[in-house]
Order: sequence, then structure tokens, then C-alpha cells
Amino acid sequence: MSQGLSAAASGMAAAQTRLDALSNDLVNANTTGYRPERVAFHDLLYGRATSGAAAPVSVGAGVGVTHLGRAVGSGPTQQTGRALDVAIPGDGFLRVQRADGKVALTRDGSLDVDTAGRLVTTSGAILDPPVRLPRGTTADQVTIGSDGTVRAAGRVAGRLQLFAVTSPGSLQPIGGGDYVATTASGAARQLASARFDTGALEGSGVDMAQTMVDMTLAQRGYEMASRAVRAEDELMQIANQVKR
Amino acid sequence: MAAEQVRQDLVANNLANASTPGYKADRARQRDFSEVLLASRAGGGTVGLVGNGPAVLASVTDLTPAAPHDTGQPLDLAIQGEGFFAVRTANGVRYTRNGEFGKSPDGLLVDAAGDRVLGQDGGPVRVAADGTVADSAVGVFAVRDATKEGANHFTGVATGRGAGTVRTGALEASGADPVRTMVEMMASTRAYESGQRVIQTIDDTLGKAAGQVGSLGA
Repeated sequence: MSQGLSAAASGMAAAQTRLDALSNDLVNANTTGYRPERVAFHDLLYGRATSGAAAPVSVGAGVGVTHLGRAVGSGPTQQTGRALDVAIPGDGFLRVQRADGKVALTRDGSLDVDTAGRLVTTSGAILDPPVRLPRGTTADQVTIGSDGTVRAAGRVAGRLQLFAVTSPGSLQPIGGGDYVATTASGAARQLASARFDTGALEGSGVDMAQTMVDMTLAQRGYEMASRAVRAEDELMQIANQVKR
Repeated sequence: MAAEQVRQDLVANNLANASTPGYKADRARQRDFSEVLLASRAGGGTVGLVGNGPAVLASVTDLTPAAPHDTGQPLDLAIQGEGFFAVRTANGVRYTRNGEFGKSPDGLLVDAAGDRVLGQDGGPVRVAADGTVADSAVGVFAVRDATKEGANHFTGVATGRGAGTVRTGALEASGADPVRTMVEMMASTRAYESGQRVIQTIDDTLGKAAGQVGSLGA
């Protein structure tokens, strides 16, 4: 079987992976604190073709895909006016304890108060270190200062802490806007000073126009690779017709 | 036909890598097999030269720089002009035009495989606390005998500083020009087809020689 056929097929597979990543970006165009996926292409090993060549010619085996993680850089800050919304300028993360027991990092600062009076994120994960509000406090009595100090009815109830990793692009997403630290990202460490934009949320990092353009390009890439498959098929068909 | 198959395989690989940043396209250089001098068996006079068909002499990698396009990612780097980035892999130093880099846990600039990117002095490049690198910190090398190895890597001999300059927040487009590649693909298919026709014609001639010469009139 010709190497070109598998090379062309790998082109289709790569374009498909890119399209999958872009579709995921697109549906998250309004997700708070979402960061677009980064998909990297690289060429595969080069083999030697001897038949039909005066000297061995190196022919590539197609294209491979690696997930590079997520884009870095904050999305646009959107004012919401809600007292329990915080946006994080810079590269910090809130740390949360999820219901499944995992400790995760998130940039989703849309906070709420659960039935036990603790501050939780939209996915229901409890802030870590926890911020516990006095019994009977309602959400509209809570204010958060720009340094992260949480006040319930005027009294200090706790402080939001920020965490950071060396390489935020390599954090592993586990759904719900939560990320876990990996060996590639480095361990999470607490930041000495924390600053928040209160009454605001970080919008999605997805640039709609750019994503649509990238999608069109990926689609065309898929189409071209499929044409190369067809051309290889045509060659085999022609070869088959040598003997009538 | 065999030569066109090789050319088609090169084209397929180029098309598959039409979105690979910093990819350099391969082109087939063809020539005919050495010709043979035919002599007439009856009279002994020379008839003339007869070719033995084409062969692919070599695949030539077109190293012409492609245009960079902006991505906005601070660790996406492109070289404007000639030259290569150098990365230290497990197999030694390799050169690449793909500047899709990231930051390692120890704060150094690494490629997609986690291999360190080298500065002009051959040392690692440190990423600043704000997640950016200075254009001048990343080495650009002129490379002699650059040969593709896969994974966007080239082997070769570095001969000092490359002429190109580093641009951050951008990636170099693939060197596989879709239009040119598609045209080459079509041309190659047709050449393959005509090769097949030639085989059929020769087969017909031989068939006639074997089946009709000597048979008495129909």
C-alpha cells in the first residue's frame, strides 16, 4: 500500500482533531473563564522510497497532532454588578475542593453561598481554604473587597486566596471550568498578594471571529487531504487497469 | 509509473501538512533513466537513443520562508527571514521553524515535546514571570545541509547566526502551497495514467506480433 495514502489519511485525522477542538471552543464562547484549546501539528517520520527513484528518496508519513494545553491570557472582564462575582486580573486561580474529592484550580469567580454557609463556585465546589459565613447570612449581605476580604453584614468572615502555577497553559482541564496541576504545569503555590475585580466576571477567551476563520481553514484542510486520498485511489485504479 | 507514485506520495505528505506551522514542502526532482543506444540488428546501423522512462532523482525540500500569521499567544514564535530555532532533544540538537513553544515547570522555554529551546549561546531560554520571552533571547541559527527528520525537526550543521529575526505572538504558516500542490497532484495523476497507456500500447503491439504475424489472411 502506498505511503501517500496513509499520509493523506493522517491529514484528515489531524484536521478532524482541530475541528473538534475548535467546536469545543465555539460552544464555550460564553463560558466564564474559559481558555481556548491549543492543538499543535507536526510532520511524521520520513521513510525511504526506492522503487521509482534513482537514489532513495525520503518521503514523509503525514502529520501528527499534539494537544499543547490551553491558551494563556485572560478573557475580557465583564461587569455584572453582582456582589459575589470576582474576576481575577493576571494569572492567578482560585483553589476549590470538588464534590469528587479533587482539589482543583479555577478562574470561574461566580461565587455563591451553599446551605452550610460556605462560599462555592457555580459547579458547587467549595473554596479551599474555605470561607465560612456566620449562620443566617444571606447572599445579599456579603461583600468582597478588592484584596479578597469577605465581609458578611460588615464583619470580616474570611479571605479569598489566589494560587498560581509556573506554566498555566499545561494545566489539565477536568470539566466545570476546573483544572488540576500536572507535572508539566508545576505545582500550585499560594500568591502572597491577591487582587480581585469585584462585581465582574472574566469572559470566555474565545475570539468568535478568529475561531470561525480557523474552522473554515480546518475544513478546507480536511477537504484537501481527502482529495489526496482520492488521487492515491485513482493511481491504484489506473494501475489495476494495466491488465484488461 | 513508479516515479509518479513517489511524486504523488510527496504531494500527499505536503497536503497533509498544509496546516503544520513551519512545515517545508518537498518537491520531486525527476530525470530520465540513462538512455540506451539502439542498433539495427539487420544492418548494424544505429537507430537512435531510447529512453527508459523517468525516475525521481531526489526530493528537494523548499526552505523558502513562509509568511508568519499572528496568534496572540506570547510563546508562539516565528522567524522572519532565514534561520532555524534550535532545540535540545534526547538525540542531540535539532533545528526547527515551528515556534509553537510553551513554558516548562522550571520556567524555561520548551517546544511541544518538552525539549528545551536554545539561545544563541546554546544555553536554555528563561521565560519571564509575566509569561513572555524577549525576541533577542531566542537563538536563530543558520543551518547547512538541513534535512527533515519528522516532528518538525531538521538535522544539519549550524554555521552561526541566521539572518532572520524572531517575532513573538506569531507562527510561520506551512510552506505547502495548497494551489500549487493540488495542481501538482493532478498533473502527476495524469502522467501516471499516460504511463499506463504506454504499457497497454506496448502490450497491444506485442499481442499483435504474437497473434497476427504469420497468420494467413482473414
